[in-house]
Amino acid sequence: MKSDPVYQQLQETLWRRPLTAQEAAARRAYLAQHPELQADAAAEAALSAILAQQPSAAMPSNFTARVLRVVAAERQSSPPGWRSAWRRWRPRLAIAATVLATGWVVQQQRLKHQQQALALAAQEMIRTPALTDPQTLADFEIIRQLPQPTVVADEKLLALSDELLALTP
Amino acid sequence: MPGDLDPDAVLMLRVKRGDTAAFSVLVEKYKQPVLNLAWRLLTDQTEAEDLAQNVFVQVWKSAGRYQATAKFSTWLFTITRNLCWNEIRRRARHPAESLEQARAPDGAPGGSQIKDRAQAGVPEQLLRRELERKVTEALADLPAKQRLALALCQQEELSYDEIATVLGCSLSATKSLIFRARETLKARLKPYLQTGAWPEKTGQL
Repeated sequence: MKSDPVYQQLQETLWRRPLTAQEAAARRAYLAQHPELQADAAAEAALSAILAQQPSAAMPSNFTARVLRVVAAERQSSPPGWRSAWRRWRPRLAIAATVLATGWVVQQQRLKHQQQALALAAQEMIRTPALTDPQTLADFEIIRQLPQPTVVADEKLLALSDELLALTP
Repeated sequence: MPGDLDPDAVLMLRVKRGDTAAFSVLVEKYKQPVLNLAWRLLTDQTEAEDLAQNVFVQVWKSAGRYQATAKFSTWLFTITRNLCWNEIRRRARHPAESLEQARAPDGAPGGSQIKDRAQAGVPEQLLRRELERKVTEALADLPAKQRLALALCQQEELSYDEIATVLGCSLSATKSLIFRARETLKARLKPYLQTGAWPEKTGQL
């Protein structure tokens, strides 16, 4: 692209539409000062003319009627109001429902595992033998009431033991 | 405020409320530019007609999502671009010769075919037809994005900024696309551009 901003602006205008008399005069004046650009400028102008003369697509006479017919059919087939909104939101709701259902299932699985672990622990406890036979506890009160050995008695017993040891050769 | 909006946006607000009369006005106004754009991208009259029809049906169906802040023509041509892209991608996946192309072995677009045949025999018209064919071929050989940029460039209601919006690229990238397309065409049509074989009819250049 050419560096001169004024010429560049005129070129870009020429890409889009024929230049006005004033613009064309400005372009000619610029080109008179820059003869090296004249060949390219002529090609640009000729190309713009060619593109401007490109024929339009043939428009069918009933085009608008065809479009309106399709739109009318659309209107009849597409339910208005809340049903239309429901149709639009249905996929999102389906996704949300799937996510919620998956979450619920995962939660249920977790609860089930916890319950199974508790049940196993309870079974383990039941299987453990009782620490004390109930029969043993029948004489508990008698044993509890027996006199407890005192520290003095123990000291007497130790002294006696020492005396016996001294007597032995 | 509707008073500040472009008139097409005001019509679209009515279309949003289900006003088919407003829709009809928009179809009448834009059917030719949309069809031209589709035709220049797809180079097939029948497919271009079907696509242009789909564009307007899409406008009707998407009216609820239209934001009045966007210029209607930009929005419309963006829909056209998207549908054309889809069609070009579909063609790439399922290549097949179209009936229209089969009917037009010389490559001339079907739309101007009947008119030209009626005028055949006149040497200037034959020359014009030959040149038109060359130009059509050169345009058809451009990459699709350059072709679209060039076609949008000829929509006078769009500014360069709006063309960039429709193309989905920056302003400088848009101008670069147009520049490259024109350079390719200049190189390809050089003999005609140099000899002036193409008679100028319109505009002061």
